[in-house]
Amino acid sequence: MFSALEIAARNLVQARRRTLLLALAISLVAMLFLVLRAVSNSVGERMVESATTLSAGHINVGGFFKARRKAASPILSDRQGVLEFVKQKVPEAVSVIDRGRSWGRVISPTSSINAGINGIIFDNEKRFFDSLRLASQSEYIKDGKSETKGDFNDLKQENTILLFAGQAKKLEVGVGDTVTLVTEATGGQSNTVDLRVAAIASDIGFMSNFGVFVLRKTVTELNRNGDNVTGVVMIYLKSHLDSQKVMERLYKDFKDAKYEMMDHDPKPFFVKFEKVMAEDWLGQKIDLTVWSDEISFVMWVTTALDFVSFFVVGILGLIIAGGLMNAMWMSVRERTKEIGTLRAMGAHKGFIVRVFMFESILLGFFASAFGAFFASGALMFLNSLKLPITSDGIRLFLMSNTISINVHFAQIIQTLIVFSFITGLASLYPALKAAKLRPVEALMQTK
Amino acid sequence: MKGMETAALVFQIAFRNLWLYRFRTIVIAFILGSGAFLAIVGLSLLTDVESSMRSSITESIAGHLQVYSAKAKDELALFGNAFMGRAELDSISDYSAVQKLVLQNSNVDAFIPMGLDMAMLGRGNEMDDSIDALRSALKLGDAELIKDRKDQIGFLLQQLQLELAEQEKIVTNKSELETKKKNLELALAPEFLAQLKADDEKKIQFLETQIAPISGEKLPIYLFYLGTDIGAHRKNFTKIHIEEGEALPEGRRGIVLSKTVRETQLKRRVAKLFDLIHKSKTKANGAIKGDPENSRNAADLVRQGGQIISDLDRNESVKLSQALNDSGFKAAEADRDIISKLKTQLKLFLTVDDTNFSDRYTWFYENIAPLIRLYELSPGEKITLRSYTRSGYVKSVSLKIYGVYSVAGMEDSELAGAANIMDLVSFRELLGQMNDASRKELDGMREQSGIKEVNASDAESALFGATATIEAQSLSQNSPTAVAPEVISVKPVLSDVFELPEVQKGLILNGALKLKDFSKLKQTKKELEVLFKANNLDLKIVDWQEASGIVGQFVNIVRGVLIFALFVIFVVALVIINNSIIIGTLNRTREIGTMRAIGAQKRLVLNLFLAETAVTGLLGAVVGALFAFGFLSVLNRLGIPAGNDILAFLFSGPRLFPKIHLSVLIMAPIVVTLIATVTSFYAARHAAQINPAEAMQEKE
Repeated sequence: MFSALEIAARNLVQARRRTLLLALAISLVAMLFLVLRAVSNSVGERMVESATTLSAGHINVGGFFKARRKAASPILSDRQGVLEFVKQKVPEAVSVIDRGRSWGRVISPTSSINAGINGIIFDNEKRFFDSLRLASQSEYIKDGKSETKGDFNDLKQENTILLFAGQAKKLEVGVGDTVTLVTEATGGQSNTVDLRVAAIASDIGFMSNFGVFVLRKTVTELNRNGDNVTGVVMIYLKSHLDSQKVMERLYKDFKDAKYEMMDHDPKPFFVKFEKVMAEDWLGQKIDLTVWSDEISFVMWVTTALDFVSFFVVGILGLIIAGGLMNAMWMSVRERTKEIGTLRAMGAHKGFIVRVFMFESILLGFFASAFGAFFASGALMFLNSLKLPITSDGIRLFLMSNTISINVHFAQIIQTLIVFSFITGLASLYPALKAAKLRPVEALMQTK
Repeated sequence: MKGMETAALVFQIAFRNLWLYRFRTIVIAFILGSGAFLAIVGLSLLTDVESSMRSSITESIAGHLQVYSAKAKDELALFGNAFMGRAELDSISDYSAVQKLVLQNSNVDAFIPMGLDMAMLGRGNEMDDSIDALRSALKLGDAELIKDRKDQIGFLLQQLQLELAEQEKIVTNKSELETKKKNLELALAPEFLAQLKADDEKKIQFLETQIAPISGEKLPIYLFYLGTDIGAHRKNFTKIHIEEGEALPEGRRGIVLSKTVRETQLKRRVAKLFDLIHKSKTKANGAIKGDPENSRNAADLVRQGGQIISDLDRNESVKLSQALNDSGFKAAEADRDIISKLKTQLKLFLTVDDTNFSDRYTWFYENIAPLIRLYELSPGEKITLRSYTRSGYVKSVSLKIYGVYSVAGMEDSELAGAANIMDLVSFRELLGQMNDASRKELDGMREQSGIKEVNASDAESALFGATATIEAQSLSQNSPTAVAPEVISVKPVLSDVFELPEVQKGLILNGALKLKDFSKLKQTKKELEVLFKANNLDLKIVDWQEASGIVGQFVNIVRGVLIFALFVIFVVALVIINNSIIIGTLNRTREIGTMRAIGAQKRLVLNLFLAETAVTGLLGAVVGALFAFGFLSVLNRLGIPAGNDILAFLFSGPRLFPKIHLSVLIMAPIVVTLIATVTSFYAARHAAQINPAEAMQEKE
């Protein structure tokens, strides 16, 4: 075993030029492979992160209340009841919070945006505020200073609002300014409230454009709802990977407890209005979703990325395998005599196969290790630059405002394994061919 | 002559070598062949996607170039930007000057003034409609009709009672609710409806002012619209044709709906569910069983019976029940009245699976669709649009729907039918711009609502403020003035007709330019930029792709990714090819040494190696191209199904039928061969550098 490895390593060193050229090609593709994996993984992670901080818990207990046959409000009419039920049925939850939900227009003296309105209870939102960062003034004011203004704690006060930098920039407001929030109630009457901008947070990718945060009280008052009305109960687990399982269990629990349930539909709540409005019932129905359902409208990004990287890397893998096979083939021809000698000295066929396979596996391993090393270094350097992404399209695609692509150790290991495997596989045929050489003929061959 | 001979010799040796090193030849040919294949297929598809998107965008809304004020806060985004809602554009206060200027450019064919915005569609309430129907029945004196209408209202009143009970669970203002309850009880008293006579105007008014508001308005729908000079628009966007109703006449206020918008946003859900499943089954070979989206829609369909029933009157209900019965959908024994009979029957009918779906689909459109209100809006109706003006206040305009349009050849494209089309005068109105008519209207309102004259500098806020007050009064349920008939009559009384010159100048948000020669787009854009600068016009000019906002960026990203992928594949392929040539050289050191020793020039060796790559490359690339041709031909016949919304969007329809682009098909193999040959220069030179003496000495 060891001698085969030794001979393989020696062969690689001896055919330096060939080794280097092949190594270059392999490490190039390994680099690309790692970068693509890292990008799609980072985007996925960023998605979980922004979804679960901005708009959803790992599991969401939402639903619709139909006070009229032809209308629907995204509310839970029995806040206390649902909260208690959830806490009792999901004891493993790390936290269970609730937010009011509404939809309206934020108007500043010079501009306006449409946005989802999240009504928070300040003391419950530690997780949310921990993941936010106050935006420096330059993020929302042209030629602004790099200092931050405002304080998340000011959001405890009534009639305050939290905006994100992108929104503040569009509205042309800063901390301390007043904006007007208008909601269109279903009767056609509009309800209005003036709010002071208490803090402006850095954008979280693209999705932070879509929602603003106010106190829950503000939302219930705007909607003219009672105090036991809320929008959604959000459940956070230790790991987001358990979401689906726990959701299915909770769904059954709700059903057993005779709650009226909506069929699970993996879409965000705001696209379900039309469906609910068309249905013929009154009162409350509960709708359970997991975090990915609430952002299903952007999940295609990871699917597309995965598809592209799979496709590109697949083709490159084929090309490399072809090139490598060719090189090994040459190598077999070149070393016919040597193989003959080895065989004549008593080396088994298996030994020859091992020598050749080890040779290319070693090559694949070290070349991809070099590629992975270089790629991680380059990405780390790129991340440290914190380059801002200016194109909205790319921001949507990468789910981030600055270029930041994290490489995980597992991905590096994955790269090494994949490439050692491909190179090993590619050398299988030439190796078998070499092993088949009959010692006598091989020795007789002059060239 | 000598050159020819040498070349012949070089190719002869090259061919021999290729045969000798068969395996290597096949590998290189395979790599280059797949490169050519990918390049052809990828570029063809990209070209198709781009051109279908381009025509969707340029031939429906954007034109080739778009002009807007450089003072705009946001970039022009015809199909939406990073925020929900509209882009903030600064207006061009009188476009006629700009129009005159751009038409000076010889490549500009036309300038079409426009503006894009979004408004809420006020949808009235059901009770109002029923009360109107009762009133006309009373006038006619048709006893049966009156009974029918009274029944209808009686049913709605009972519903309201149930609804109020639900509202009690969530609202804060209980006293408001109590008043509603009391009023409702009055109306529900048996004698109220039974004794209602033609001259009971008081009672009917009570229903209208106290009861109808309880039922509230349906949730508003957001409509996206394009305001334009209808004449200029029709002349230049020729693919737009009217599918239903009539075209919007020039000089009239009105709106033409986009068929896409009507089908996706304004269609009854039951029909939409039928459409969705039908589309998936016919265009994407989908099935109900096993496909989660289709199964959900099918499950949803079962619940739509109530919606159908609520659209029917008694006669229609009886008719439908009979028809269902004849087709084998029998009511249960226990069903006593027509409603519960229909409920059972419809439930049976709407339970679909893969075997019965297409029959049910046909039956639905033949027998049920004509009875129900299939679309929320239809030509001939009047609608009220409410928009937030720039200062955030509400402005409403009532418009007649003239027709429904679609864009020829792009019926399935979401982009092509993104906006409804309205006249420019109404557009300006909704934007909050003042004109003579609205000034008059405002004066009228001032008089009636008693608002004092404000000084001119506050004119805007006065306008919006005043409008908003009136709005609030006519809509709010509990405002005391709402009962007074004088206030209810305060509806914007704007003429349906306007003078044409009114649209031929004045305010717009942006303008579309149509070019005579599309290929000179960049040049024309530059010329116009210079022209604007020379005339001190603070205008921005962008091409259709930039103007389309995030959609345009998206195409760029797709293109970028494809080109990047092709690029990387080529780089790696070339490294591998070079590599195998060099390895080949190492193997053939002796052979080359011998050739050199017997008098072959360095040049000949170099040419030999280049010829080897060229021949291999061409061979591989041509085979690759043939495969690509075959592949694209098959795709062209079958079409590529758009598996999800994003693909459907990119394909501008449910399937993409890729065309075979002859130029790509011919160019790709040539370019691939050329690149391969040129880049193998390094390896070939390497071979040519071999020193004959050393090479001959070298042993195995």
